[in-house]
Amino acid sequence: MVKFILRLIRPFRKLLEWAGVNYPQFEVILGAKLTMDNRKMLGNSSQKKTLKNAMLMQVLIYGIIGFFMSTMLIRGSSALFFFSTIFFSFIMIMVIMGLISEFNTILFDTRDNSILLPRPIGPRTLLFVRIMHIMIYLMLISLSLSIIPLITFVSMFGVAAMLLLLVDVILITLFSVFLTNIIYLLLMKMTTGERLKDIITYSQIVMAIIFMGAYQLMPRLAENHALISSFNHVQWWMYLVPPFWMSASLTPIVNGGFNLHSSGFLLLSVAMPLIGLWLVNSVLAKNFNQSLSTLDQGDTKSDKKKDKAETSSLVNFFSRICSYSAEERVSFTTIWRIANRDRKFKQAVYPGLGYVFIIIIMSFVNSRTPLSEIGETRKYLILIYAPAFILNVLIYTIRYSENFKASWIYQTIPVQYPGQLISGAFKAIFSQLFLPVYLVVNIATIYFWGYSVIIDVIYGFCSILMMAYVMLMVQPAAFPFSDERSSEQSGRNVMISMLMLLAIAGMAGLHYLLVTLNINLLFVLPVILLVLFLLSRKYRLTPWSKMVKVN
Amino acid sequence: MSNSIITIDNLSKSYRNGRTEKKVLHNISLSVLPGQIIGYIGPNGAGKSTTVKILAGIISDFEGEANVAGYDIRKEPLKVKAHIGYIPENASLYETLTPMEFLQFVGQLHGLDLAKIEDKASKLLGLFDLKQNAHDRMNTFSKGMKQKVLIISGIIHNPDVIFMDEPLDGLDANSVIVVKEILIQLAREGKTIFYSSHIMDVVEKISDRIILINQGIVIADGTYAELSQGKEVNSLEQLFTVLTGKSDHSQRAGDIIDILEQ
Repeated sequence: MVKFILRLIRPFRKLLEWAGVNYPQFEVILGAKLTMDNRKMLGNSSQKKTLKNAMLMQVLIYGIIGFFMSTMLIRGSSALFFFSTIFFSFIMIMVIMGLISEFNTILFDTRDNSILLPRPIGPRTLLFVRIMHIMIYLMLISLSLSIIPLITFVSMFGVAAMLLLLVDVILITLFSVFLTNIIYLLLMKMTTGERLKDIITYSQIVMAIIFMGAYQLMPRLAENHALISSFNHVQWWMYLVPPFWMSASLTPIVNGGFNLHSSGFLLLSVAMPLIGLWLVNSVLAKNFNQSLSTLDQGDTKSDKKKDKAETSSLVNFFSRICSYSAEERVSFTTIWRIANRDRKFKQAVYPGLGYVFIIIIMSFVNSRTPLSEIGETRKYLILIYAPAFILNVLIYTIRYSENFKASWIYQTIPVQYPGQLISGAFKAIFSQLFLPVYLVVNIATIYFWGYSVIIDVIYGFCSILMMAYVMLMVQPAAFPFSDERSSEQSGRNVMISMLMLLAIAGMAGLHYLLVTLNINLLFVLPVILLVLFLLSRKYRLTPWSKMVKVN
Repeated sequence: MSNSIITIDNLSKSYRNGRTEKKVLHNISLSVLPGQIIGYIGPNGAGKSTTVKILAGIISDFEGEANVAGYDIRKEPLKVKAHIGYIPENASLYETLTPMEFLQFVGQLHGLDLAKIEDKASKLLGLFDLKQNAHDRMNTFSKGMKQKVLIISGIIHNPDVIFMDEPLDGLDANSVIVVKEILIQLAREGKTIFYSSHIMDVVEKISDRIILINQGIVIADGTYAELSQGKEVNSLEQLFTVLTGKSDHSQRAGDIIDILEQ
């Protein structure tokens, strides 16, 4: 496989050498990196299988999105401009966001600094190895998105049109890669390692939300005929938007009517990726090695103010009202701080926060009830229970950290019930991440449905919390941030996730039943509160014997 | 000995790797008096860290008996942990925290008052030249800076026994001298130091008693003077070579150079 990929790249040797790359070195480094990737993927261990399955799943999901986009072409060639614009925009977003989220680690990997930087390797070689390494995976994304559209093109417009689409897919991928790299390399010149890592983290979160939103939105866009018809005239501003370069040149070639505008767009679609390559190479690649070596040197000073503010009143206030013991409070405060600062934790959890809002928006967008009449419905139950989605993510993410080895400290402390520490940790992330979302969403609930639903909001809160405790207790008790994240995608987590979602649906169903049967929730609430008290107490008193041994 | 602060009796430990079992400690017995500095040395893989982890209550599945600070480790691990400090080898810290926050975390879990921790932590950080970094996150600290935080976290609660596993790794020369002096002064005040290390020079200078372990067996136990008696050695390093039976160093070095020049 590695040799096959290297052979595919070999025809571009002259181009790469023209760009200043030492090709033999380039091939050796890229070969080693691909071999390492391959070894992560092949084999029989469950982790390797999961990785392999995750990759296949990714290809499948992109394939499905491609299928949904192809359905826009049902209207025939008149929808081609609209389809191709959406299609190229989506590829561009996915490539740029993919580069930001997953593949920036390859571009900015400082782990092999000590291996590569002392060797006589030029900055251009090192940069292009990384760009090519990323490009291989991004091409996989673009091509998985394109499989169904390419097949559709063959059947609707012929083989030549399909080849044209393929070339455009490659061009937009190349352009997106170079554009992102230009932004990255400029950022590397302007900002320090820590700041850049923060920017990357937040971009990753946005990417995850866009992806989830697009997945929901795409089928609906395909059905919107009015929008498709409005997309038939070339406007001047289209010259500024890259996906139009491809779509506005592809459409007249396939449908006929090629004119001066079309040739302008065609020129841009071919020339801009090359200009991007030239810019990356001639202006920005020179200091790549140097920038890499400074990337590890962060700026801790800038966080001081934030850290101090965070340690003051808010955390203390919450830790005081939520904790029963000093141990629980200490854990609460510490985990609050770590959760607030750990980038990987944020990357795993924040998209879930965005998704809560997507679930809510989508369920109301799909609804045929006008907003003025919404107060008559029982849809407030969606608002009450949707935030529970985030708890699901929180419960299995809290145990993972890149810094998991630091959990040795838990083995050295004289605490009788470690449950106090895990309970404090849960309360910290619950207060920090779930509570604000729940409050924001349910202020809206009360606004639309009136004060009569306050009791429902309180009841919903207690039943979600109760379910969270049940979920915490059915899985092995682990200290926060004490496990390696690589096992995160294991089947166990998927199962817990499914269980939690089922449990939330069950609790929402019960709530719906109580409301439908006109049972006053005030009578049920004391029972829920009692169960909640007993569960939280039991969790707090988890003994050492029940704890997962830390590494 | 009845007034020993550490007693180990027939301590054994095995690790299972698939179907095979590897015994790393073989029936070790020893006792340590309060105020002693024990230099616990041995080649790589000899079982030093395993012994320290058992005595610090981190590894609980072992054979034999072990008592620390008057408590049976197996029966009362929390009481043992309340009386000891542990500074591990290659330890990680929660690097998104600041040294002050980490020390608050550890100190409070040892039952210290927050104001007292802050006061002590601030002074100790100052003495380790980290005062200006007390409120910086540790993710950009050098290895030596992290090691200093680790040392402070192991002693901030004023433990009776301190277990140290390569504590000087990554420290600059001045800090090494400071730590050596701390250990000597703590021992004078009656604290017991169980010091596991590869750095023979430091062990030789600070230890009242040296215990050499090889392949899980104690092969020498005594003061430097006692152990070196009758042997033609000038340093603990040479003594170590003699006792572990590895004296062909120059031959090995010569072989390596030969291969490089081929």
